Amino acid sequence: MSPITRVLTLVGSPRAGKSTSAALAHLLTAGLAGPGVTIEAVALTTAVRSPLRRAALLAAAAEADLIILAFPIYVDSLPAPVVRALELLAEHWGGHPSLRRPRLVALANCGFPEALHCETALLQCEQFARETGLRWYGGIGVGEGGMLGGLLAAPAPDAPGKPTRGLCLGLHDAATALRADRPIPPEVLAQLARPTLPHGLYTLLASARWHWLAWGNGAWLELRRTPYEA
Amino acid sequence: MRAVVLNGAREGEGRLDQIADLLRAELEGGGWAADVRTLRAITVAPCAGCFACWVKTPGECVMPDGNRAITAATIASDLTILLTPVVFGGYSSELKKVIDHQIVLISPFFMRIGGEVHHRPRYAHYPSLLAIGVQRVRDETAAQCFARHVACHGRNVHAPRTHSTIWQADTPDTALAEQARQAIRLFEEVPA
Repeated sequence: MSPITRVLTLVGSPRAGKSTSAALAHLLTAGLAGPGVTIEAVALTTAVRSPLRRAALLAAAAEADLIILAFPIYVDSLPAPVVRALELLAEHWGGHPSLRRPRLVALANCGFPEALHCETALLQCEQFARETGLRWYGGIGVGEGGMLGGLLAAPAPDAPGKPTRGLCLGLHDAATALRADRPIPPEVLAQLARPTLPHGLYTLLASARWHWLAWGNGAWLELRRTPYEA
Repeated sequence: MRAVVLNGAREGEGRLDQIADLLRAELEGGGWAADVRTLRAITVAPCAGCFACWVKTPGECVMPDGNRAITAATIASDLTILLTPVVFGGYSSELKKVIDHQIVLISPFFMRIGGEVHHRPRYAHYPSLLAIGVQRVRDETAAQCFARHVACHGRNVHAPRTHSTIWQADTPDTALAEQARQAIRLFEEVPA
């Protein structure tokens, strides 16, 4: 198999480049950057919408040595546009058996405190790899995604004392394995699944955030609304 | 009792449309009111992940498309049946585009269920969940993944009872009708 020189990041969040998924993928690919390595990012929500962009997605995937599929968990699984993209990719590879198959890493983040809520989606990514003949290089699951975007945007998120230091070092270790053309070791995946903030603090902050956002929208009194009640 | 069937067949998957018709017949034969929705024929934009349905228009998606009517029908039902090809061990993109919007049915706030954090219910009543995954070729790994996915989904949407089953597309209709009857029977008496 050819060495990893072309990395394709597929961002499955509708917020694309401004998302937590993109931020996590960027940290991972930063560890892969170097002379002769190209890193391209594609936003899947827009890519699946037009024939032209779909064709570009398929072409980019066929050229990649490594695909990083980064996405948020939607109702226990991949968001619908990500499923659609995988359906298109599977159809394309199925119709062209001689096309090279890249390596695949999945990088999921969820809004729950526990990373375990990412497991089903990661199994589905591994199943996708199995069905399409891609080499599965590991599934990263990260919890507390609701806070990570803000924390990772702060200066030097990997600095000692920062809550995101463990996460940043874990992604660095993952990139080290990938650079050596090895799947991400289980101990690195376990490290990445550890919480960034204590669970109780995360749920408290998350609840406070919903209250604050609803108040700002003039919807605080409506938070428990049941519009479809019979 | 009311059942909503969400048919997640993609273009060219006419066999699932036939299965949806078969489900309707078995439901009505069993005294259920059956509401079958063919999702690929309904305009539903992908969920934007904006959380407006939690903090701006709580309980309702800001997108005024087909997602609203489907969600209303879902929460008004006693049983939601998800009919889908098994796609990488999960739901098809057609079905998932609708399921993604159904976070409107739950609260943004957390609670613990079985030692795990989940979202609190928004409504006093939720439908039970039956997921029928259809495979053209038997794939046990995908089938196990599907079962796991449905179990997680049912927990998160506070379904009083959740069941998943895998059907093979080339099974004769008479056999599928019997499988449908057995599956529906599981929900005819659901504990409160």
